[in-house]
Amino acid sequence: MTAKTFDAIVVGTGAGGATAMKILCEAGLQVCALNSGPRIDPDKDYRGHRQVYDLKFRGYGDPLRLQGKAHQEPYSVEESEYSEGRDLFEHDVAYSNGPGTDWYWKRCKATGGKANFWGRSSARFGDIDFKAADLDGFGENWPVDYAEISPWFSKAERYMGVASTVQNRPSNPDGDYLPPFPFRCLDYIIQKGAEKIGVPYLPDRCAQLTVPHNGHPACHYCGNCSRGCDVGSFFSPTWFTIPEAEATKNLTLLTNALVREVLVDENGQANGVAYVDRGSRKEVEVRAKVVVLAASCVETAHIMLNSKSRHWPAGITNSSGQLRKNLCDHLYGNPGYGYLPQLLGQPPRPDNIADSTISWMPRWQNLKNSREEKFIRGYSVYMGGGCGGFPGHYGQLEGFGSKFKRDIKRYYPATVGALIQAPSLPSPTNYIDIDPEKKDIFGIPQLRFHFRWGDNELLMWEHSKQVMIDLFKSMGAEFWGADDEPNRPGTSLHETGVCRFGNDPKKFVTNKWAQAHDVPNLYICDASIFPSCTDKTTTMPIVAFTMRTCDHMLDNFKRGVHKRA
Amino acid sequence: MVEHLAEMIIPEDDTPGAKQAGVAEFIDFMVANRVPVSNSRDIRSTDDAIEAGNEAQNRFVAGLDWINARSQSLFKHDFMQCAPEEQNSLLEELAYKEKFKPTTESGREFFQMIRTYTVVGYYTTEIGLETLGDPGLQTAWSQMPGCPHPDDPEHKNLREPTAAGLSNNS
Repeated sequence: MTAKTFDAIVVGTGAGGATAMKILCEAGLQVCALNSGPRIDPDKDYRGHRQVYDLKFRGYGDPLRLQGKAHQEPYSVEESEYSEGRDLFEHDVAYSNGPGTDWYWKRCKATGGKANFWGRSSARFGDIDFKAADLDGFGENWPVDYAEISPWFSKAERYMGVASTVQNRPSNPDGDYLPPFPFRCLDYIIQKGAEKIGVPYLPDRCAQLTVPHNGHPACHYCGNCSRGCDVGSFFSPTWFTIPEAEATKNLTLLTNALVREVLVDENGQANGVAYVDRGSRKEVEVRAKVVVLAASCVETAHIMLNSKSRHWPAGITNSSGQLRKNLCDHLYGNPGYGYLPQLLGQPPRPDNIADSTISWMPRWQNLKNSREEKFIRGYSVYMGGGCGGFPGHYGQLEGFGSKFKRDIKRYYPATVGALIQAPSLPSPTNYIDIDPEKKDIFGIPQLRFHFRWGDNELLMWEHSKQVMIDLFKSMGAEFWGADDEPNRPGTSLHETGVCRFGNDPKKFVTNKWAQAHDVPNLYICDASIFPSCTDKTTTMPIVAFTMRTCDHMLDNFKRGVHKRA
Repeated sequence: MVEHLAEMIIPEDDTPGAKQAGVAEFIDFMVANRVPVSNSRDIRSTDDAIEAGNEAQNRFVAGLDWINARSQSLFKHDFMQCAPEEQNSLLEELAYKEKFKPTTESGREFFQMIRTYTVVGYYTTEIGLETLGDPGLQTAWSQMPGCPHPDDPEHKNLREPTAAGLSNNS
């Protein structure tokens, strides 16, 4: 490996890491980025316009494909037959679950990470989120407020391209938006029904290009976004940040480089990383003046916990003892599904050609008074339904023959369902640690999860089920059912915490710039810094906070706090 | 027999049926390769998938035997030798709650299984998806058309064209 010392190392090339490397490269720094898996190839790895009938197993996949791998999960949608079946998801690096924990840790190891396939909902956090602890007395505030972050949200939105409308709700602040998606039949019906029970139903904030934006083409509505966009009509590192970083010629991108630990100098400050080359399984070191970790929340903490030295016996920059704690996640589940009789038998409409959330019910609970409900804080709900693809509702219809076949078509435009997005509260029982015994096949001590849903989020789950019953009644819908249990923790891919940021070095791992309190040349650019989970998704805020962190870092280079290599 | 059962579940009427869409070949392929298509099982690993696939294959083969045994006991013939109305009444016992019998539980499970394979096999073909007018068959749109009836947000005044059309035909 090269003996060159870089100005900065960036670990991870997802929403946060690739944004960091773009900004740092464009500022003229020499950057080495490490990605744990291969370079993604949209032609091979995305669905493109493959249809289900083009696939040998019609999308169910060869059950033997992953045989012999040390993985713990079956296929995920994105790696099914819709792509050419290259290994994009992590099935070699094993993890453990502590007693009573059932965490689903899904990791995309290809460049761009999960942001190749993300859901694109991009709401801003507001002061109701940043100052939640002031409002309800639980946990910690964020070290920033909305006035300070708002310009960074604008910057992220303008860069990414987010479609929505102005809605004038401080709990769900407005941003700089592209034209919204139109409401579908089902949206109008749900909105009317929601109005009757006092629930908002509004266009979501979707990072998807309804018009051409910054040289990226407008969406062509093939409906395959969740398996990657073939032309880059929504923000992803693959189409946005990675090519822009490479264009500067200041980037050295190492693939299949599984980072094991952050290396330190004689003062305990970061001076590089050690990684395992997946192919040769050899350990390699690379040096830099500044290290940015953006390996995706818990993996970032995993690397830090494995970065043990005489300076950092409990993991790098862990004098607070808070590293690995405060793991949060969005509780996901379907609290109600059924159909809208108004739409039975209607001609098929292109309801899902944007493959997008289109509209949602942004948090409406505990807004006026933080203790209106039995739970604190609040959740949001996405609604979906209508025509598109396989008629999954057939299971609700009895019988066989011509009538059955006609019913499948008749109900096709009419189905409706929900997805709750409920934040878990930080809890002393929810954390990660290093499994004391197990190592993965590369010899790296593996991560162990300890996580259970708490009472607060389960109260939200029960609440949402009742709301759905009321909503179905008020919109004249027929109720088929609801999930018995929420999805497994980890399903949402929105884990936060474990390296939370704050001003007090005794209570927080990083400062308000996401710079490690103990190791000022170590920065974090992912959701691990978020001290609490909200009713909103994480990707756009990760980009916004990364932009802000990099701005601060570049300022530190200018002021001589960090030296160039 | 699989082809015949699939065609009974999704028959040819004003649009093609299971036979024309090659559903039996699909079922043979999936069962032979031990690919379960129902998500009733909590599959967590390749081992789970293999186990579920083996179980699906065994249940499928046993289910076909169950149908013949039932057919023998009711009509003194194998299923394929029965008259269409006999075949129909046998399946109805397995398909409609109000006709369920306490002794037919394993037959009902098999019927749900072959019904699932048939629906999956049919609506993952171009023929099947075209009968629904799946918008995803068109992979480029100049824009996303919204609701054509915004003046009737509750959609209280829509007529049901398909049902009217079908009732005229029947």
